Amino acid sequence: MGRLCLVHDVLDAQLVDARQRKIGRVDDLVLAVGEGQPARVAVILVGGPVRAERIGRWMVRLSHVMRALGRVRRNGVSRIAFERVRCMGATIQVEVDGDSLESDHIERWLATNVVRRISFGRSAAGAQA
Amino acid sequence: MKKWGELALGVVTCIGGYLEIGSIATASQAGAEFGFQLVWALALGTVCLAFLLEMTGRLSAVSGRTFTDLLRERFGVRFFLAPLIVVLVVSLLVLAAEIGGVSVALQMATGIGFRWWAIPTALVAWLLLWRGTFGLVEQGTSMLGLVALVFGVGAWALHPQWSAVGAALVPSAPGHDRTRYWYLAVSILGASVSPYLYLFYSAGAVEDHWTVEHLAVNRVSAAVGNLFGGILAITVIVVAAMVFAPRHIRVDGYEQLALLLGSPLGRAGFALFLATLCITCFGATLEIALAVAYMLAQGFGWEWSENLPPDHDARFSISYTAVLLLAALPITLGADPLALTNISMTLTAASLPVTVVPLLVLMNDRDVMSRYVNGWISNTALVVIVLLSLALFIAALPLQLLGGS
Repeated sequence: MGRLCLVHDVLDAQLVDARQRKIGRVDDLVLAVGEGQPARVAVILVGGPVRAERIGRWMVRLSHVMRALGRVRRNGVSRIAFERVRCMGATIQVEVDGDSLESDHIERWLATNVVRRISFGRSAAGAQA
Repeated sequence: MKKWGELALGVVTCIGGYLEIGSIATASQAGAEFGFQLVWALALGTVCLAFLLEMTGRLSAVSGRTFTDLLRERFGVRFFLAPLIVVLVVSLLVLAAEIGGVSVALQMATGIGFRWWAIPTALVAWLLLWRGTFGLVEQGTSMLGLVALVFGVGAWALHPQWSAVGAALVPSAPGHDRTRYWYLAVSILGASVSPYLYLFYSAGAVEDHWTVEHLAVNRVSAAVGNLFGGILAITVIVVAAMVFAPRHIRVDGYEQLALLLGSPLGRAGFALFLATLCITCFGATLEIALAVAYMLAQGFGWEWSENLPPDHDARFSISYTAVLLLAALPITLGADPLALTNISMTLTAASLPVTVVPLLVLMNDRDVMSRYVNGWISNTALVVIVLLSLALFIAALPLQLLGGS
């Protein structure tokens, strides 16, 4: 791979998991700076709280209020090691299972507790994958 | 043959999807109060929309990505918040107005008050989205939307002076009520160029797996489809000008609109008008609810597709569900559908800069568009649209306050 601009090419890019499912966007990046070693990208952060911090303090406060109102206890942030990146193009493919990601807990909760209970809809069970 | 089929479908989709509550209401108000004089505003809006659809379609065909996707990635989450919030608010209002349009048509057909129809309308729309596919939503509604061609028949039956209609393509100063004239011009532009239209179109190009091979289909259907769609909307002005203006009827409620086609076409005209209002507004309801869900899902990187079962893209599916229910509230609570339409069209007009300015940047970004970046014609058009959108942004709210009633 040639040159890579972190802000231009990586930040905010679409992430897909090992099964090509969309699992959020690169909401922030963490650099590791070791003594005597060059800085490197260590972790991709995904999730609402990380996004809120990038937007500003007002959004952080707003998301605290929303989480309190919705009684959300989980922190909703996934940390994906940069070594997991397999492929970078229009999307960034990472070698993780989307179902195990903390940042996707609302997706799983809605699918299990809301969508599948509306049973007459097209459900994944028996339908196409 | 396949290409011709796609082309025909593209053109039909543009025509059948052109009319909805905003264009019907603003065009008939304009015809009633100013005769043919505001035809130029509709023509201008149609040309702008044709360019915007061609560009967002090309953007998606070349990059394989949606406009929203690129808005978030290229401009960052902080900037993205502005178009997201603006489009969400405006689209919710327009969606409420469309649900109002369906409800009013059903009230006129059944005698049961429009407030009772909003929630059932939202539920039927939701059921179609929940169980249907993208092709069904896009093509089904636009095929049925062709019933709107009855406005063309109505205009023809009234024998207008077509040369006078043509002459009104050139803007002229109004003889009376100048603020009202400019207010209606802005509303017509807002009704013609809605952000949900190009967001939906761009997402649709990705849903249909467009590639550079679809660029010709995209260009022709955007141009020809909008040309005919625009002409159809102009016939609404013509009918209103011929039926309302001589009798000095001012459209201040949807009840008057029912007279529109009843006058040239009798009882059948009345029934066809109701069908047109009901079907076109329902089609727009589906498209706006999807457009909002697309924008949320693509902006935050959730799984999305109208072709997936809802439990594979739960946040996306719950988004359009919530949006439909939320938008059904104002009408259920008794908001006046026509007032709601007028306000949402003005706000739409004011909302354009946050999406068209970034589009100008994206359409000239070689990383995204490679050799398919805008040429000088598209760039000139887009710069004019940007300037126009800024003018609308400044003028829309003062005009709403001064000329809104």
